[in-house]
Amino acid sequence: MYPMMELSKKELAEAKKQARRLRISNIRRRVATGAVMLVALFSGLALFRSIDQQAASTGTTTIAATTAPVSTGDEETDVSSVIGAAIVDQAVSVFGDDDDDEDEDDGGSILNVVTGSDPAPMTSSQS
Amino acid sequence: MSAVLTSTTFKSLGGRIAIQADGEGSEEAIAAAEAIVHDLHDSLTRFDPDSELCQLNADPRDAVPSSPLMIRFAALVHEAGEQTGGLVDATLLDQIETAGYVDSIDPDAGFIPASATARPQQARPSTGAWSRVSVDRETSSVLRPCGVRLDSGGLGKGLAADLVAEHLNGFASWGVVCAGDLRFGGTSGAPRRIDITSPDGTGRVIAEFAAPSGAVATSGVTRRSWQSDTGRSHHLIDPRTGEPAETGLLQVTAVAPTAAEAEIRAKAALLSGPEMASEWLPDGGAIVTETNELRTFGPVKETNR
Repeated sequence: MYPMMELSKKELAEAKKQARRLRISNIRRRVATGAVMLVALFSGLALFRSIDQQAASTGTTTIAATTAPVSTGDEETDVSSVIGAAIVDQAVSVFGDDDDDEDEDDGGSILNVVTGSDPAPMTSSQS
Repeated sequence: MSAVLTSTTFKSLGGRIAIQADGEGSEEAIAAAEAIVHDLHDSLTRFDPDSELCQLNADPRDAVPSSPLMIRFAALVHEAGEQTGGLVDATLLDQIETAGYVDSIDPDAGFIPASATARPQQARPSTGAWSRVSVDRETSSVLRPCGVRLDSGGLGKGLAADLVAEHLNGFASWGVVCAGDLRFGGTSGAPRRIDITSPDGTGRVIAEFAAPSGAVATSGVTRRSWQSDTGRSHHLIDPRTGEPAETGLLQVTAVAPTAAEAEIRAKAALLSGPEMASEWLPDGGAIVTETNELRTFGPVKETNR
């Protein structure tokens, strides 16, 4: 237990500024990690498709892959791959999932990488 | 081949925020955009007595030196009232609190059964205080009679989406969702599909449209609701009665050039009722009546997914 300290307005402002810097730094790290994951996943899938000699398609391509189950609720689990998957999951849930096939949930995560010229759908609902 | 989707989601402004941008430098831009939303929340929340909004609302002076963000928000409060003849009135904080909305509500929690926060007071109609809110840009001050309190509510979310949009403008494609209010665009000019969900909270998509840019806001009475002494209550106050609105509409979605404008139109349409709602939807939208009838306007079309 630490004794209560009263901060002056200047000290409080500086503490807030430092907290904000840390918060933005964390955001940057999280976003960058997610982007790297997506690029790596996309590259891997593109290579697989190439090897498999699948015909290349034009326009929008939605690629889905199942990964091991991830928990987005436990913030103590700071594993970059989990964060990357979680970012995609969350983005899909808010920006919309272009996959009309609503299969049963097998406990894994659906990763969606949207490429091409069409932007991902977005959803408006009551706030 | 264009770049992959880069996005982030987080909770702020009492709901879920999602930001996406596509192009070089999007990671940095998204990080900065998230900071913009957090800063706006910190300044405009009415649930933190240290926020700039609470400080302004408690300030005994009629002219209060304010940040550029607060100046912009206060100007929007006046604009919303003027544009809608007082239907969209962001000075109804007393009435909102009288209705029982005195603590932050997680919209994901759905209907709140207990009425621990309800206050047994008589609701009062609006006095049109929005018309006495103005800004002095030379002295960077918000002007309003002492005692007139501003509520950031939906206008704050619309403003947040517009601020992020200004930051992301220039990317090939970008989009931001601020707790239901969204804005999207991009230099690519590619159309983006926008889904509108049902008021029942199931996430079922009931209408959609596509456009290369624009803004959408959805207002309704089925979320952020709670049990009061007189029955079910919600956060959307009718300025004519000072009580939670009952207009025959459950939900309105409005399309507009900006998110703040979409927010104003959606609220004005909802408060106008089923027969007059379309007057507020010149760029399109959708309404759901209390009998669950869906009507769509302009580019918005009915769907069921």
